[in-house]
Amino acid sequence: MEVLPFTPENLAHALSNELTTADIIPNKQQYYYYLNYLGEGGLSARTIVIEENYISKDFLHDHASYYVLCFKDYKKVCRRVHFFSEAFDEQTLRSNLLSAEEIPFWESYLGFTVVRPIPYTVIGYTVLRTYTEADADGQRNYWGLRKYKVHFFGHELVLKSLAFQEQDSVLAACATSAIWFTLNKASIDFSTILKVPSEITKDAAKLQTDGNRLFPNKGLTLPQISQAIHIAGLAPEVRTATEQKEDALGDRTLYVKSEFVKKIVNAYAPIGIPIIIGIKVPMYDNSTGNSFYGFHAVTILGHKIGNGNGQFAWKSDNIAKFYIHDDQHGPFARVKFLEDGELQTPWTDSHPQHLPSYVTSLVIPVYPKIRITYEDIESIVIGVYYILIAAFGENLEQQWDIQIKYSEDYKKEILVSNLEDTDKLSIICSNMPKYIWISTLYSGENKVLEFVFDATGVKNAMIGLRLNTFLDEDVKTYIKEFTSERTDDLKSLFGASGIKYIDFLIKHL
Amino acid sequence: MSKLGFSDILKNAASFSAQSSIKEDKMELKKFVNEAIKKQAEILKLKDIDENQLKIVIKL
Repeated sequence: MEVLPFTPENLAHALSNELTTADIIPNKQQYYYYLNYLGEGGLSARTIVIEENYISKDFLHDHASYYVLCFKDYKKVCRRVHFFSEAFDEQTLRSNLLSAEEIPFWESYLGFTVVRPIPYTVIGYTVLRTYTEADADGQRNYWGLRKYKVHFFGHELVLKSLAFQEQDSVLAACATSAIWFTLNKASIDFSTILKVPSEITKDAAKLQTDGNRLFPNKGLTLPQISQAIHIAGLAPEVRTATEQKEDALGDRTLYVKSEFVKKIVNAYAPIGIPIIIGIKVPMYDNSTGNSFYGFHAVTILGHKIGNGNGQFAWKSDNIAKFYIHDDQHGPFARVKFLEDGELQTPWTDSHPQHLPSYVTSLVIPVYPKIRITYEDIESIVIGVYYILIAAFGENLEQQWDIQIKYSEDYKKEILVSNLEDTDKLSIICSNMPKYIWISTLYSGENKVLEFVFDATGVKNAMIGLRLNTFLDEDVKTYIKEFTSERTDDLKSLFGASGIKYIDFLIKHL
Repeated sequence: MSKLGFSDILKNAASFSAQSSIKEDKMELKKFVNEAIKKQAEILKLKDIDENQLKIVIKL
């Protein structure tokens, strides 16, 4: 055991190994990310504790499948580096370790990172605390976290986080790491299989797309990412770029609209499975001074709602930032939205000209029973939106929110809502599928309508389960009459089950 | 709990009864519905996959 104050020199020493000495560590982007994230402006770490000869199950599997077969004798044991926000020396730590009682000292635990005994790509299994949820310019929502039990010299500590590690660039590239982050959460919520990076890469493909051997791995395509997710037990929903613009280097680039990215993040956040995004990131060649773009994959696990009170059509428009695990930089990295389709990522920050990044694809892993997609629900919402505009004119204030939820979570929300007791009882006692889509119409801060849809249903069927209204009787009667008098025209707004949706509206108003 | 009336959900409730030709004109309503269906088709098209993008190797 080694106890050191948190300083840049000691961090470099802590992250080093026999093959990657402390003078090489500052060449790594992750080192600077750690200094910033754990430093004064971040989690304010004051002490580092180094634990030698640590067995990391994650590395052990990768070691067994690749490194053990190398001629060079790569060690199988790692180093584990712990961070604390309290300043203390070894003697104080030893005395605290001997205390069997709950002492405030353990609240200063910030998490750990495993240092793998391999060259350069040393950052192994890492669990670090997040920033606090509220700050001056908005509310952070880390929806992709789970609980981790950390065993620290005989003491069990619990952290809410999402595990992180950098790609080792042999068994895994960025896409494999992005899948691993996602599965780390899904393995708890959905009982899917958590695999180590080498297993994920093997699930994705037998060979690389150019016919080359799978290992050393050079990266994955979207179908390969999807295959690995499918084999782990989840269903991948893939979206590719639909828009084009000139990128910062003057070349045509495809991108996904920021509005759509925000809608997807907001919609799927409540079920808590991290979303993988493909991004085009700026890079810089120091030897030639040239900038160029490369394709990268990261995992979204949280977002921040801004404080803006401006007009919006969708609640998701209020998302100001999201948080990603980027294996080339670090955990919980901030990403800001710039112009449409453009992002300020850690790659933007570290590029000399701060060129923007672009979202090029989304892979949304869901439980296989969730068959109704976000777009299916937005299409129904558009139908209702137009009926209300036809009935009330453009003067109707409409702000919509679409989210998928566990029905048990929805019922808990209903219990503390301001609905009348009879309505509450009617909802919480009703049978619902495990996954439901909730579409809520707001007027300012007030709920107007709340639709509940079956997320496990069939797209062409009428999947409406409930409609909760927060309107006076005369307003409801007006909408009901307006709709029933124009059924023949309005039914085409809801596809094959149009008449059933109109009946559903009339019945529940 | 208090529920929302016309004045709560309309920016200008006073002009409500006078406006919206869509309410009275059947042809206008048909045009309006077609516009909505076009918008719905655009949304559902977001699920269409561009196969060329599936060949890109994500490798950084």
